[in-house]
Amino acid sequence: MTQLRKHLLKMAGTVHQRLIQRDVKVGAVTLPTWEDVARPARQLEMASRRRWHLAAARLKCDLTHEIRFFSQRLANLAIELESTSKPVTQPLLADVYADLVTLEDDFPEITWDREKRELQVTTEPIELRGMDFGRFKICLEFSVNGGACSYYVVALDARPAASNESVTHPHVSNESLCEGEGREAIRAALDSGRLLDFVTIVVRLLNTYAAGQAYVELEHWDGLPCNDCGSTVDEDDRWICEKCDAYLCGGCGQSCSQCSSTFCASCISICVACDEPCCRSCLDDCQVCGRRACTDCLENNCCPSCQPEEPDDENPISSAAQELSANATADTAIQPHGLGQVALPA
Amino acid sequence: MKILFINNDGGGFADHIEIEPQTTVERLFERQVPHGKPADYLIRVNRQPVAARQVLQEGDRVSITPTKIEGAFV
Repeated sequence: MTQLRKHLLKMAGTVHQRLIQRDVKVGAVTLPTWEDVARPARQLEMASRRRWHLAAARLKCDLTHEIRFFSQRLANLAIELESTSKPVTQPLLADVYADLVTLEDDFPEITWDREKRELQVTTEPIELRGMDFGRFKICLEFSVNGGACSYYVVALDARPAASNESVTHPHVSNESLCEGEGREAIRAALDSGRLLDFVTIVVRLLNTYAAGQAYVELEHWDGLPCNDCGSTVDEDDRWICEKCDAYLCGGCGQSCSQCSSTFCASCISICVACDEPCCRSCLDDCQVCGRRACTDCLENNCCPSCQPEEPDDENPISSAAQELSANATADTAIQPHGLGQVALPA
Repeated sequence: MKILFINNDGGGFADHIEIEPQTTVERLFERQVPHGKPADYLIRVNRQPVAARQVLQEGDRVSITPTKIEGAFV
């Protein structure tokens, strides 16, 4: 006969008590807060109106995340309400004990947190497509009021997404797991008090990557690529092209010498006169040669090379000669022949 | 004879079912998950991994869980 594991037997007794105390009646319903969605939406609208593109891009990510989280909370709530309308299966103490024995054999750690009234199971490190996300702790909460069980997932060796530190796994945000295909099976397992099945399903979810269904896709986990050089850029160091919204690293973003906005290599141009980087909005055509120059260099709609020539008032000899010629013609009196002298202007 | 069969695929089924004596794990899987491949599932009898040819006994607890379960948004 297998030797009883006293610590697990004691834990099983506590957990079993919590499971059989569950009440089928619906308790207080806690709805997610709409303000968590409305606030970034308002901020995004203001940033877009003021053309703060970098802030707008960041707020767009935040808003997307909040909408998804809000939707998931509503869905989870609907399932929770449905499950409380069904009779709860009371597990046997022997079954709870057997589940805990297997959990202890299969996982690195299993504990009962007396203060939080939680059963906590630590997983092996989770790896998805070569990326190591570390260990996770699955925490199953037993409500004080005996309502339906809820759970959350904590990253013990957190490697959050560069764009959102609350996303610690492609399908975990704010310690909440996106159950997806596992939703109904998880609920059925918890309703029946089948702890081993519940943990097994959650672990399979953590070990499966659903591309296109993640809070942050794996290819963007460590940041988005710079549009010009391809290097990975995290959110804090990211620039956005004013014209095409391409993501840029600090080294590739170019500032227009006129309006100071940032552009990518495809959207920036050069003034033909001063060779400074300039966006297309701040360049204009020279009316003579048609080349584009910045507003500083254009004069009378002409580039410096095409400016018309002006009289040279700066040459004193030339000026004096001209004046002399003019005065001689207009003011000099014609003296009688043989006088030998003629008055010259000073 | 009666066993407890738990299918953690889809909606999650857990109930006692009748099976014929000498039914193997493999045969039970083919009957309950006709379109599935055993390699895509974790199959346990009485909470332990077992060979496909193991013969089931009265009162056994058999659970089947997909190895890949995708998380997704609502």
